Amino acid sequence: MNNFEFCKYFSGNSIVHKLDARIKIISSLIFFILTFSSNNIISLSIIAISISIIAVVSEVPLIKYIKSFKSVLIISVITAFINLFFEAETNLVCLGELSVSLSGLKSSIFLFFRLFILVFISSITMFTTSVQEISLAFENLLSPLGYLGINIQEIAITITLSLRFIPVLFEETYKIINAQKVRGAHFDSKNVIKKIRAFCNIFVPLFIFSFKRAESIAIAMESRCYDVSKKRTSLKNMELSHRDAISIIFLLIIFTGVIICNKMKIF
Amino acid sequence: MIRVEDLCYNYNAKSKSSISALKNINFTLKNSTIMGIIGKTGSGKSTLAQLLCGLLSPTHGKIFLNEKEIIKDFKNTKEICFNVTMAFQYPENQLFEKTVYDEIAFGPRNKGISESKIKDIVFEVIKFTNISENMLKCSPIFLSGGEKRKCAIASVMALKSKVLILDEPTAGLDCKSKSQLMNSIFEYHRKEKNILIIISHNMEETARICDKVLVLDEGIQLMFDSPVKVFKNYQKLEKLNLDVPQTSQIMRYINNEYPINTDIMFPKEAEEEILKILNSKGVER
Repeated sequence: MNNFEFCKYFSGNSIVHKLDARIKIISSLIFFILTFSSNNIISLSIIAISISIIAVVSEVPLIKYIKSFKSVLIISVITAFINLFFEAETNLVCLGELSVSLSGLKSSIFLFFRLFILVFISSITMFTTSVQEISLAFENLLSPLGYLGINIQEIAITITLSLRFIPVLFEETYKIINAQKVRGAHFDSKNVIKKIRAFCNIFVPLFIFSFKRAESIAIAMESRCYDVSKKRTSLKNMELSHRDAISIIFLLIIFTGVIICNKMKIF
Repeated sequence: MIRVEDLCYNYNAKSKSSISALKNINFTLKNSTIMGIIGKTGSGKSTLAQLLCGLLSPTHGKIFLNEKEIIKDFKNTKEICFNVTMAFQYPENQLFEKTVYDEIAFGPRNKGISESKIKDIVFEVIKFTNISENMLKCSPIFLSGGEKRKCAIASVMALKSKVLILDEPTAGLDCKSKSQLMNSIFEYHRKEKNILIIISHNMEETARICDKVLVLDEGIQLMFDSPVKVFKNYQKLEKLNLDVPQTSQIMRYINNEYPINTDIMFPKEAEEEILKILNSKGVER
C-alpha cells in the first residue's frame, strides 16, 4: 500500500504528456466505450496494441503500469470468476449446482482483459496528466453545463481535491495499519474473519482523518477568500495543437478498425 | 538488551530510485536504559524506530533483541511487536475503539491475555497516564487533544513490552502537559524496567531523562553517548540546526566571562553553581 502508484502523475516530456488534457480525457472515454463494445479477439487486440503503443510513447516506466495492475488484480480475478457461471449454454464443467459453459469461459476471459485495458487506459491518462491539467480540462469540457445554472468551478475544485488527496489518504492508511500492527492487530492472520475485522478497524480513524482534513482545507481556502461563485481565469490557456489533431486522426482510425472488426464474426 | 549491527536501510531498495535512509548504525542498549534519538527532519529517526519494531526489514545489518534476531528469529511481525512496541507521531489520530477502556485493552487482547488481567493492566496504566476512571467509558474520539494523546500512550504502555519506542510523544502539547506526560512515561519505565527509546526535538527532555543519546544526520550515526558528552559537542549540533538545552547555553555564555562548569544542563544545578561562584566573589544571596 505504501507503493500506491495509481493516479500519481509522472512528470515527463513525451508526446503523450504534451497532448491537450481534454483530448486525453475524451480519448480515454472513447477507449472505454470501444473496450466494452468489442465482441471479438481482433477488436480487443487492436485496442490493446494501440494503448501499448501509447504507453511506450508516454515514456512512463513499465513498472508503474505493473503496479497499477497489481492494485486491481484481485478485483479483476473475482469479477471474471463470478462471470464464469452466468452463461447458460453447453456446459463444459459442472460444479454441483453451478456449471461453466464455453461462452461463460469466453466472456470471463474477455471481462478480465477488458478490466485490465481499462486500468491501462486510466493509468496512461493519470500518469501523463497533472491534477491541474485534469481540473482545467474538466472545467472546459463541462463549461456548457454552466448555461443550465450548474456551478462548474465547484465540480472542478472537487475533482482536483479528490485526486490530490488519494495518495495522502493511502499514506495515512499505511500509518494507521502500522500503528495497529504494533499493537498486535491481526493483519497477517491466516484467519480470514480476523483479517477482515482488523481491516474494518482502519475505517474509523481514516474517516475522522478525512473529515478533519476536508474541514481544515475548507477553512484554509475560505481564510484566503476563496469564493467558488467568482469567475476565474487560468494561467494556462488550453489550446489545441497539431499534435492533438494527429492524435484525433489516430483515434478515428482505431475507432473505425474496432467497429469494422466488431461486425466480423470471429471468436 | 537490544543490539544494532551495521544497520542500513534503503527505501525502494530494488529500484533505481532507491533512497538511502540509514547507513551503518551501530549501538547497544542494556536493559532498563532510556535512549533519546535526535536529528533534524528526514535524518532517519522514524525509519530506525520502524526497523526496531520489525515493520521494515533492514537492507543490510542486523538487530538483536536479547540475542534473538529481529524478523529472522521471530514467527511474525505480531510476535516482534509484543516485544518491541511503538507509538507513532500524533498517535491520537489512530484511535478507533468505542471506549477508552477498549482502546487500551486492544493490545493486551491481541496478546491473548485474560479479561481479568486486562482489567488490572488498564487500571494500572491509567494511573501512570493520569486518565480518570470515569473517562474509561467515554469514546476516545470525543476527548480533548491532550487526553487523546494520554489514551494513545496508555494503549501502547498496556502491552508491557520489553522495548517501548515513542516517536515525538509530546509534539503539539503545551508545556505543562509535556512535562506531565514525560513524567508519566518516566514513572512507567522505572516500574517496568524496560528499554525506552524516545525520538524528540526537545533537548531539555532528552537531557533530563535519557541515559544515552543517538544523534542522526541524513541517516548517518554522528554520536552515541551520554547526554552530557553529546551536548558538550554543541558546535556539531548547532551545525545540524539542533538545539542544546537552554541551561547549557546560559552556562556557556557565563563561561565566556567567568570560568564555570559548562557540563551543567539543568536549572537547579546551574543555580547552585552560579551561587557558588557568587559566594566565592563575596556576593551574598
